[in-house]
Amino acid sequence: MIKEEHKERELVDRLLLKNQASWKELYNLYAANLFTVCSRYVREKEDAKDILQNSFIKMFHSITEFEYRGIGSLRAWMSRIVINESLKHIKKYAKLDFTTELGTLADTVTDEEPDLEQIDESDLLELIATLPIGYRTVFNLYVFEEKSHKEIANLLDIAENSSASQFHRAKSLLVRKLKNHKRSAI
Amino acid sequence: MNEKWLNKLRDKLDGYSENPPEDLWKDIEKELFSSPRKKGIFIKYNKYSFTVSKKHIYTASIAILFLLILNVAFFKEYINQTKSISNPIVANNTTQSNDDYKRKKSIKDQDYNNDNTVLSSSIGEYNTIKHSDYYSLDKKQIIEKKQILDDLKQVAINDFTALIKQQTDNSKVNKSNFIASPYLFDRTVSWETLVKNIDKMDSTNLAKAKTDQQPLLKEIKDTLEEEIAQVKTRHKVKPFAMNLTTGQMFSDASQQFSGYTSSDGNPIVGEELPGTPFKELYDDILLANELEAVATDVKYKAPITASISAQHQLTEKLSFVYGLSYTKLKSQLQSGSANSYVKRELTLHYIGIPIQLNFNIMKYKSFTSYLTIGSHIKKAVTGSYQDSYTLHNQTTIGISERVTDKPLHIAARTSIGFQYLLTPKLSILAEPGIEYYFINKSSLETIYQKDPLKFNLNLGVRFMLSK
Repeated sequence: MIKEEHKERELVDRLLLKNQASWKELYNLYAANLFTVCSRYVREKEDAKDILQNSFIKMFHSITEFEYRGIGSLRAWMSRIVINESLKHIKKYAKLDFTTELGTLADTVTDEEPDLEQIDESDLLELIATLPIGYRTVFNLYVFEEKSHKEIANLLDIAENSSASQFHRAKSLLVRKLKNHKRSAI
Repeated sequence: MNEKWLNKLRDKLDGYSENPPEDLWKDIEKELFSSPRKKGIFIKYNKYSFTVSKKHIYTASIAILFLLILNVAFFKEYINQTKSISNPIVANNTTQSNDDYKRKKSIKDQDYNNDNTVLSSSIGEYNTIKHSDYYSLDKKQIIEKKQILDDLKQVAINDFTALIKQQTDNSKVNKSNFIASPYLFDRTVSWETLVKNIDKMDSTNLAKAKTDQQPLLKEIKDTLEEEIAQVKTRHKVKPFAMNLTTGQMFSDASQQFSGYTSSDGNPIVGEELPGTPFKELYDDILLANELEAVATDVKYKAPITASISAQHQLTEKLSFVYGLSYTKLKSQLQSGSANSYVKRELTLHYIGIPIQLNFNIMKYKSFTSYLTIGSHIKKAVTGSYQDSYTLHNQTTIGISERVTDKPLHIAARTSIGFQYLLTPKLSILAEPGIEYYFINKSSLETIYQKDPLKFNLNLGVRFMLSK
């Protein structure tokens, strides 16, 4: 563990020198994971690619501001940049509007929990991607980034209850999708 | 609320990763470690900034080059024509002055005495000169041309006198009637008087002339009348015209994206989620398409523009056109599978102000060709969305909403115009050209952003209003 931390700290030092080989090393280590993060937010692979590219450029220019705080801090810093870039992309191109009042929402949420064992990761990711973008963004921030509705509301400039209702709706739609997926799989 | 499965979901996807596209690192490397390549020209004007891509620069250059070649070809042909007409006459006639006129007249009288063909040829020359274009000449050339015309007029009068003389000689009529007629030799006599006098002569003194000379006489008379008309036209107030035109872009545009997207190809947005009564329907469509190939088709119909404009003649070659236009623009977005889809139609109505400078390049009889350069500012005044939901081929009309965003577009346009005079007051015109929409202040995706460079054709009628 200490050895690993030493290795990572040493990589950060080399990254600061803007050495090409070191940046390639960083890319090889984290690109796949970060690409998956992008794919949760945008559906098109081309967009995910653009976001990741922009994120790396951002990292390259702001690495001097990065403060190493032990193992995992590099990955967390990178994820934060990628998520920020993803949200920026969504805001810029998709013009998120969460003001839609949900009114009477048909309560399709049942107590029955969807079974996640039978579905593989890529299908699961694809199902999340098919959620309308407003739902998806809130859902991702809440579930994967473990943000509170208050934080999400701040990030997306929306009302807190709007975030909660979007999440609620996303969840119920995803449950329907998961059931549907299971049915069609059988 | 039970959210255990969400934790499972997070854990399941946490360790999961998908490989990014292979060329991504190369792109990043290029961006970070090699000198950046410019993708186009970045232009900033006040708060507006935009990038003109290389593709657009190339297309615009080719189009402009094409127009230039076309014009040069026209112009060259025209110059050749003019040269062949005017040069010999300039050489022969411009040096003629009032003082030496009488001397020359006597020589010409002798020369022409028995040669009617000379008369025909001088009228011919006169006509050719007169019909050639004033608009393409500068002031000096016009003065020169007037001189030539005056000289030719004199030659025509000379010829005419000679002819009369010949006729009277032949018929042994008293010559003094004609030779004593001072107006025939007086350059200060107005054209009108001259024509009247010829009329008078026609009825009184020329009765005895041979009938086969009548057409020639009439020709001179007509020519002179035309000249009067032309002089009158040129002295009147600057011409003012009203144009009614309609413009049409040559092509529609369409695009397809995979998945549910908005018109710019990005995933469909919260804003575009349907209103309350249609949410369930929307969810049902999403579910119905779960296993279908889902695509979004965006169609931009070519906008139709109608305009009314006024045209002021600034100089003989240059005129200024300004007016008011109306444009209707329609686009359609269809997202989903073949049987179940969400459709959104956007209709925008624009009011615009077109301004344009017309530069005459050639005129041949009733036909005029000109170059135009101008700008068109359009602002949407109203617009609406109409949604519809189709589930298994059953269509439900959704909510119709007013558009809150009112786009503003500014275009530059250049074209080559052709005008054909049907009557002295009415002409038809066609202006094929290219238009570039360089400012598009809108969050709505329209054909103008999608394809800012467009070939289009304006067709219209022009009424002359001033006399």
